[in-house]
Amino acid sequence: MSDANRAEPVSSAARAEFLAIRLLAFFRAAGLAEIASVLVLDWRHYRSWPAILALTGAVTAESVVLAVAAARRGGLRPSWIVGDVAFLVGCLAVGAALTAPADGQTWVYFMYPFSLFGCYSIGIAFGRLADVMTLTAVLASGYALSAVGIHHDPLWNVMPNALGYFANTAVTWAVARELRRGARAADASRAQAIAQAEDLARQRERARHARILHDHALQTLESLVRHRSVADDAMHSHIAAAARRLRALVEGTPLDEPGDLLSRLHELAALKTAAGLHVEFNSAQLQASEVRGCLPREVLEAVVGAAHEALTNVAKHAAVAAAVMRATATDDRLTVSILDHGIGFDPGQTPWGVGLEKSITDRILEVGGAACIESAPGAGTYVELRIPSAAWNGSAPAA
Amino acid sequence: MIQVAIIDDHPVARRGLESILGDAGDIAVTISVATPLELAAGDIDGRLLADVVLLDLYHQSDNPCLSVISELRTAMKVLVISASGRPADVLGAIRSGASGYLTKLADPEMLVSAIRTVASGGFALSSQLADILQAELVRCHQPGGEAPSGGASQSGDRAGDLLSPREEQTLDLIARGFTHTQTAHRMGVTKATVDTYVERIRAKLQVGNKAELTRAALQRIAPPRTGE
Repeated sequence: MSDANRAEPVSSAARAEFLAIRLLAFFRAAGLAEIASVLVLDWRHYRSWPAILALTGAVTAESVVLAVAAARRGGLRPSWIVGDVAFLVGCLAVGAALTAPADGQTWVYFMYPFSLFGCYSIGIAFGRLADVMTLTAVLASGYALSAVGIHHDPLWNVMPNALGYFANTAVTWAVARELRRGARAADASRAQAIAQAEDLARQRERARHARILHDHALQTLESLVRHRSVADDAMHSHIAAAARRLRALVEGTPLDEPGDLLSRLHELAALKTAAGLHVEFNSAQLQASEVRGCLPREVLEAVVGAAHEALTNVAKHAAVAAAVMRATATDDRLTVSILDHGIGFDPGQTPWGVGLEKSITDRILEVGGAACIESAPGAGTYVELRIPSAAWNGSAPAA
Repeated sequence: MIQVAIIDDHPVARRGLESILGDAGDIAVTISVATPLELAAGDIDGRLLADVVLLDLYHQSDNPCLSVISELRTAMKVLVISASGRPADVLGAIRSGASGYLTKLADPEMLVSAIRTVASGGFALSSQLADILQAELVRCHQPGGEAPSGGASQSGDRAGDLLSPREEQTLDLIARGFTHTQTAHRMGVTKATVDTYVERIRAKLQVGNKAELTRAALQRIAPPRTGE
């Protein structure tokens, strides 16, 4: 009992199909009840009782088989209904022959009302109205031929009777479609609600882990770094890098994405810091920008490479221990700046200054950007790399 | 002598801060406690215990102690130090009246110079803080936000309409690492003018378009709880 309760929740779509099957079974039962009542009330009009009973038996058996098969499979197969329609057309002909009136009594033709009940399954089984109407037309013309040709019913009686099929299947089709559409919508919204709940649970779990990492491991690591508690330089920078990575993870911006400019520049800053140049990396604006993750590879490499050159130059020639790197991204451009307050140089005069200028500007020019290097003896060095948005929006690089 | 109080719930961090400040020479740590309550308890005879309080932003909780900042600032200068560099936290702290904000990765010299700036009544606008403030102001005023659109320029990379173009430029240059003097030189004004811009930025952040920005910041700081 409890096992059954714990089973997978039945989807609304499955429930709608189940309802459709019950409707089918109900209409068939109603059709059979109608046959029974006609036989009882009009028994005097029938001449060949064994044949009538055989036809009734066949119709009953077919209905039972159809209902059971649909219940087992959880729905109606269109091919079954095509077979069902063929069967009904055949039964209409046989029934017409067996009940052909000797006295003008058309009511004894019990197969017509039965098929009227039976045709509901066409509207349930087919999704396209055209299919429904085609099969209905087959059934209706089968009836009309049998009724006029074999049962000798008057045309004024047969025509409206035949139209009844169309009314039945069209209405059933429309109702079944609404039923299924509603069920699908209910399923979709439930699936969405479940996905949202799962997502929320994941986020909360993640936040919990982040808090634990933050309150214990990260705080301790950062304290070690800040107070230079570890004397060994290599170990110190290793711990600093680990702390930076852990903080990025805790704050939801993991730093191990190779295609991410933010990751790459953080990596570069850490590398230079480990080598003795303290690089302060201001990246709040880049962090919030989508541009960081969608740069073409060559643009990314050019920017990282040029920034690397600039920082290497600071470490080699500026005679300072610190530099500030800043990256911003707006709708129209990406800017990375590198500044130090070191001894500076005269860009026109210094041989390595010329080389630096070339190695930085050439890289950036190649990807459609512009670089400038400003320096003067005693005034530090400022390098600015600018990449217009055309370089990552797919259009040709602007001059 | 600048008297400094420390509020940080992490004992190792407290010890580290005490030793850095002790080495500075002109700074004395008068009280070092884990919670703001303990600071109040230590303040027996109503005397001010410190000129500057160095306040850790998170205390055993998921929410930054912004209300503590607005209370403490009435009695002393507040310099926030936090491991979190989350832009919303930083903006929230400044809006609540902090005179500066340092992350825990800031090096000792930066900490000491920030304390000196704050003690003398200034706004310790480090390049990191300028970077975060600018990023957050841009975000608060992005299209789709509720920015009042009366500004003349629509250039897209302005820090909203809160700051004037010159203040915005000041913030931008400081974020790149330029000193006030260098910033003044680049803008073609005197250092005193840049100092004035920096003060105006602080004033605008703390009293300016308050309702809007605080709401934007608070929404990010404290996302709606979904029940526990």
